[in-house]
Amino acid sequence: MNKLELTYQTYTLLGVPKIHTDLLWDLSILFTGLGLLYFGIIFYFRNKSAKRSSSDLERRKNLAPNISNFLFYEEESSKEEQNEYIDMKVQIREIIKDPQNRRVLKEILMDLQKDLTGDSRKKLFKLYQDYELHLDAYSKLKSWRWEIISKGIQELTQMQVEEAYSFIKKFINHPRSVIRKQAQIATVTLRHEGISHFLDTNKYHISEWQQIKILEVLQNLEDFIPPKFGAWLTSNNKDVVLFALRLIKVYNQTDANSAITELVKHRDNEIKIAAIHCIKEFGITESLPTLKAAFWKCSSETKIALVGAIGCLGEHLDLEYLQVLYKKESNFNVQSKIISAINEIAPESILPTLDLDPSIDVHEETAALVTDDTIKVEPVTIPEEEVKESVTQNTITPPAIVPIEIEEESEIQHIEEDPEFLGIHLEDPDIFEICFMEELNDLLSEQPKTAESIIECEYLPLDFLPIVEPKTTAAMPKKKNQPISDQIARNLDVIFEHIHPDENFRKELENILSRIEIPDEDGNMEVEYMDFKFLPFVVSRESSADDIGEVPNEKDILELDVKYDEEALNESSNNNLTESEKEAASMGPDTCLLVDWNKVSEDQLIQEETREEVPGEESVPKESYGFSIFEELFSSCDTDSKLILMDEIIPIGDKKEVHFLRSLFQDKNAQVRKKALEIEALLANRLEKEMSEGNRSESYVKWTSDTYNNTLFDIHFELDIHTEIGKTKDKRSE
Amino acid sequence: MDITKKQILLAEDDDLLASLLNYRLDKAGYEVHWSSDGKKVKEYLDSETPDIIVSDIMMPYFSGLELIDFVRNTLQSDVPIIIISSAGNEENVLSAFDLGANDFISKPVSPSELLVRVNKELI
Repeated sequence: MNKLELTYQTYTLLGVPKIHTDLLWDLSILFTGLGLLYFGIIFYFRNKSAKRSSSDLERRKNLAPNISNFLFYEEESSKEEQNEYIDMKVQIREIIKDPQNRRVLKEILMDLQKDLTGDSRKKLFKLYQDYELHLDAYSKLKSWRWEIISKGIQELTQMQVEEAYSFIKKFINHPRSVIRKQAQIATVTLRHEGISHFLDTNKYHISEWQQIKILEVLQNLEDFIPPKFGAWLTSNNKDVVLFALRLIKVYNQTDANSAITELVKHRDNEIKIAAIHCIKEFGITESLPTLKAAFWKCSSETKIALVGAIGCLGEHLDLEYLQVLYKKESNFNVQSKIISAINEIAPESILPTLDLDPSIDVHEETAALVTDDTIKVEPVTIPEEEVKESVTQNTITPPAIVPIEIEEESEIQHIEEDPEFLGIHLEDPDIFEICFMEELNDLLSEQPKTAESIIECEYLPLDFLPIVEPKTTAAMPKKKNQPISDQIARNLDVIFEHIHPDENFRKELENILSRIEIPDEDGNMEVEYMDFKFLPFVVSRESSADDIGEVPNEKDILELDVKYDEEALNESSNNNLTESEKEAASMGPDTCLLVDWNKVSEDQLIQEETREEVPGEESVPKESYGFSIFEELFSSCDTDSKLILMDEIIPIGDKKEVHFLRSLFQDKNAQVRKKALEIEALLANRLEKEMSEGNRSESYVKWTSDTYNNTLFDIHFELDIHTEIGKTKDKRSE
Repeated sequence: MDITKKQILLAEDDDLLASLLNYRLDKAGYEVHWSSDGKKVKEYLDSETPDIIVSDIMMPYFSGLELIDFVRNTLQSDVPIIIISSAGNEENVLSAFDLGANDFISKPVSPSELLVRVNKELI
């Protein structure tokens, strides 16, 4: 039995407790009843509220015409209307005896005063007091509930019940902030002297928002004559002082300058800043010593305001003080303000220096050719191939005539930023000078010490320059003043050329070469001056052609032409082509068979003969051999490749290749010189044979794109050189 | 309906103000038709053409701006329109003028001023 009880007790602890079924029923009935009661109450009050609303609406509809009648009643109206008005007045008095009607009438008047202005509004206020509705508001002021007091004050304020002023002003220092704030606004609104009373008696903090609200009320008052707010600068309430300072600033009261100046010494930062703003606003220069004295005891924010005032009021004598401040002050914000104050006294005496890009040089930028998208750049009409052909004796294409389609400023800037585009690697000038001198000395040392070589040394091996093929060195200085007479040269318009790197390079080169000592025939060392002004130079079409050495102005770069060295242009075989030949050449390498290159050479010769001879130069016309394709290939390959390429010249070479091979006799590499001698002899023999056979017609350029590729680019350059040479010899022997 | 009286369509959703203005305009000798929302205004305009429209900008269903657009572009009518706008709502006022409003008066309204403006438009 005990065992069973224990088991039962343990089981009951874990199971559901036994609850009497009647109790459950009782609880269910109770909660159902409470629910019904709850919903009943809700329905009751809801219906009551709805009924009241509909009743109020009905009352409004009845009262609204009466109010309109009262508002627009005119004393000059007819007697019938006057009688009607009096009857209506009596009727309304009877109606408002009902508290509901009184309340509705009050609500109507409160609503209408928001939507009306002018005389109607004044009549509305009069009507409110005529029906003694303000007495209800007075009674609210006696309530112990703060929200009712607040509503009463608000109602009296909105309905402009001036008599309520004396009742409301008691609440200015009410412990509850809502009532206090409502009373402050009401006091200021109802009477003009309200602001004075408020500032005199206020004991509490005046929030920023409250200050703004009061200021708004003051600004909306009609015929308001502001009191002298300087009188409250001595108040013990710092909020009153602060508000008085702000009111002084708003109403421009300048009769309290001394007090304002003294307030700069105030311990409160807000008052200090307000005083400083007043000083700045009114231009109180007498306060400058006080401002200076107060500086070091101010916070950073106050210092900024203070320095701003000094900057506004200060003179040049104060600059020294500001400079000292700048050195001593550690806060960078204040320092920045000091600089702006200095600049305010002496405009632009300090210019921005921080975070400036040192690489931007204004002088260089002004010399830049194209910086503005307003610059009209003429399109290049010369195809790239023609331009290449125009350089007959030099392997480096002049940067000035590289055709570029530039349409947007961004591209121009890209080009400006990319010196390699111009084929010029900008280096450190000192390093460049050292390297250049070493290279130059090597070149000079390799030259044979013959009289001829000495003469040639005057030219110096400057093949790397863009255009180096002067007719005579003596004629070069005159070139500067020569007008561009050649019509072809005029047609050579260039879209864009970055001139200043060339110009700098030329100057640098002149500077170096002016120090080169070249031994003359007697062994004396002479300083040889090289004139490099024959380099391509860009000038404006409108600008004077004489100003070649000068950096062009921005105005002069609106339309750019390339002023070529006349000789370089004449030697350009492309310029001597007929229109059909130009077209053929521009169509690509596949059309090269269409061009009679020998004829071209003859035309060139004719032009050479008709050219004006330079005094002092030999009258023998200079023979032109055209441009050998091998020249370009030689410029970019190593010695082994050159040797292989020379083998290929024999079967396909022409007169121009003979000339080219002869130019290689002076090559610095002995292997190349030796090979050039051999190949030149073989090629000359082949050409003589062909000439003797009368096979002149076959002297047209025979290479096409296919043969060109097969003979030149199919060569496996990694093969053993001797093997390749051997194969070539075998082929030649065949 | 008195044919000799000028007809004014007053579109205003505030009952009290509308009642007041209605009384004032009626007293000045105009026949006033009051509509409390944009839908009723549109219905009225489909059947009647008033001599002048005085309309609030903010109305239910159909704002004052839409009303101007409806009158000017849909009805192709040159009826003078005076709009009533809250103070500080310059943007709406400018939009109303762009759409073809003739004049505007700001709230709080002076009934005397409104009467002067109405008379001016109807001269």
